[in-house]
Amino acid sequence: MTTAVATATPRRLLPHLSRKAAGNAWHKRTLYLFLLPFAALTAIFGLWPIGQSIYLSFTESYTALSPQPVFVGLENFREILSNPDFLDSLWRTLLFTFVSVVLNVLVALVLAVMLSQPILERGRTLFKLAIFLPVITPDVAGFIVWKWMFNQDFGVVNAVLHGLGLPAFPGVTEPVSAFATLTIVELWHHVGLYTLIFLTNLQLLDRDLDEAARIDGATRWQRFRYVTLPQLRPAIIINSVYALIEFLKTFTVIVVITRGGPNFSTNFVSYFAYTKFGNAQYGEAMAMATVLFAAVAVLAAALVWAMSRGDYR
Amino acid sequence: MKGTLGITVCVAALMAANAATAQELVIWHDKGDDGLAMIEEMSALFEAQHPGVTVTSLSYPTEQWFNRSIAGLNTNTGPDILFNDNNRIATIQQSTGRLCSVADLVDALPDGDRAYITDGDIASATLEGDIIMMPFQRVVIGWGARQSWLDAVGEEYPETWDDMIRIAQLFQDTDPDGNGEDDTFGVALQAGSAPSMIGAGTRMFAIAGNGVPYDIMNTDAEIVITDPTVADPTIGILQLFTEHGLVSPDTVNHNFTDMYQLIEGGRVGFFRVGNWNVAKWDREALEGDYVVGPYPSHIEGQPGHMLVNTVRGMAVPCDGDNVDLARDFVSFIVSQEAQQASLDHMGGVVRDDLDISGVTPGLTPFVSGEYPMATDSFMASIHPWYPELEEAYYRHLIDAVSNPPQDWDAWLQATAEDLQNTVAELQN
Repeated sequence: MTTAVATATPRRLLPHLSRKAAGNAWHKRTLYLFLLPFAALTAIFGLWPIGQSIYLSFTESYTALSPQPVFVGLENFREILSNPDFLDSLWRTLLFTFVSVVLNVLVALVLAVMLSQPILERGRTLFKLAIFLPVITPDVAGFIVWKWMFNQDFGVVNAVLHGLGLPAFPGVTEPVSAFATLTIVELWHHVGLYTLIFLTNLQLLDRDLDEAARIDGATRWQRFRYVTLPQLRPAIIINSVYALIEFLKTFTVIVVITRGGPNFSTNFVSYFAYTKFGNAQYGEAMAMATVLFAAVAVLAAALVWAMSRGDYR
Repeated sequence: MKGTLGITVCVAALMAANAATAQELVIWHDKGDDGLAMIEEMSALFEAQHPGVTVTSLSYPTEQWFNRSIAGLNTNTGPDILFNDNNRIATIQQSTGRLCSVADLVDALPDGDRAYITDGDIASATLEGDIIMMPFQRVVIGWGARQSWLDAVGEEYPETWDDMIRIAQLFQDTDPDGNGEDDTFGVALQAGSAPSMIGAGTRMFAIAGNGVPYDIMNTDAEIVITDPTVADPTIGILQLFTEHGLVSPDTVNHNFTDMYQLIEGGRVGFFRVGNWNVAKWDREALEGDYVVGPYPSHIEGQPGHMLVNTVRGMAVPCDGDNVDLARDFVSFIVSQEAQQASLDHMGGVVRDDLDISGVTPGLTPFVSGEYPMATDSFMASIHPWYPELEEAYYRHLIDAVSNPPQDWDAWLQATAEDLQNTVAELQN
């Protein structure tokens, strides 16, 4: 009986709902009218450039910026995907992204938990400011200072290490240390934002759950692991996805500090594509950008799906 | 009242007539204040011959110049003239195909002007058999040393590579600037990109130092890096990074701006000097404390050379609004008076009949003719894929800096074989 009603109801209601929906749309015409300019602007300045860059990735480089670009199908993609230098660049980008996402989210979480402790009541604002300032510092200015700090001749990093009797850090002069250096600099630049998001979420936690766990005899670690962390899941997802997008597109820090070197160890995809513009290889550059765009979209969607799957709520 | 009205009408009519006859040529370049000042002076000279014509120029950062020029030419919104180095003009032509041949203009130059344009200038201005720009400024590069440092270590300007290594070691190990700190380096180089490491490094010491015509590949597309005259300077430069350690460790990422910081910061003894550098280095930064000469040679008894590294010229888009006038102007830039403006503002010229009494001491070696001059082979003019070969070569060079081979000759041989394969691929 229940099944019959359940299946019959939509059939009876559908025409009515359609008419109702149409009526609603008509009644909301004023709303749509006001939204139209913004939708148009979004399409023109947001979607059109993306569409155009994808379109150009299918054209021949030397005609890409002409009124009649020559369509070459997948040739640019075949070219870059058969280029070991691009595959190496893609691999390095993914590795850097993985390391940076994990590091940033973990460090931000630790910092947020520390900042939320009652013992830091008095200095909390100062610490929050100190951690967040790099986020609002202009990229280039901050990166130039870091470049000087890691300079092998007069940098403060090696001066301190030398003063402590420790061996010098090669900074951006050797491939592995250059990779590590960029990871550190990007951590400094971004972790404040993720910390702030965690901190805000920590302040919204349900205290009753923590209290109940405490009464049940849970240790501090158990309460964090099984009570606090699950409640932070939305913040972890937001931070991870945002960090993933941010680090896959890493560009400015490379331009300022390493220019893809040494020995191409930091030649990530964004920068690699950028260098192609210098030789007017627009088709290949756009193909690289399109591959990166696809990687960002797919990985971000996969991350959201994977992290949302076990959401207890 | 009637009189006032009449005067107003007359003035308006005159202004309208003037507007109707006035013409403006617009030039795009990336040469900054020096380029703007030079074209302003050239404009005044040109206007004296072409009343009512003004020539103005806009200077963009190089990458913007590229993108704007390509987009402008492809959409008929470009300038009347493009001014830049030959390799950049060639890239624009490869991307647009919209630059007109100026071969007829070169042929039609007065004999007194045409005589100063050499075969090397023409080669630089040629792309796939067509002359696409009027060459008018040679970019000449020499090798420089801090004069006060040479004095401090009791040495003369080096003639050979071995001399240079010995003196550079002194610059680095002693305290030539007398500040009591161990903060000096022997040699300034740049290795952050292919143009940095090859164009401003291996090519200089092979073509200028040893006077050979090619540094990577000859006109028959044969790789020549194992030829001793090329191999010696190539390995020598790489060993400055490895065995000798005579460059700053950060050089592996340096482009020219980083290198200039090292030079102008007074922390390096030997460095590249272009004729565009001296105006600044004579009056500030180095304050004239440097001596410029030919590149040190690896070949016993053979003097080094200075190098014509690129040639700058002006090119005319075929679809411009003032093509005929633009062609007149690019013919004019080789005249004696225009060349004098070029010398005075940018230090580069093609003529040698100019008044050099006013040039600074730093610029004198570039224009006096006292040193032999080698010319780059401008391979990209013959083989448009040449920059890609340089990119491939750079990967080998910078990898050797990061992972120095045990046997340099074997490494060079393997690199040559790999590059020859790359040439075959690029030719296909």
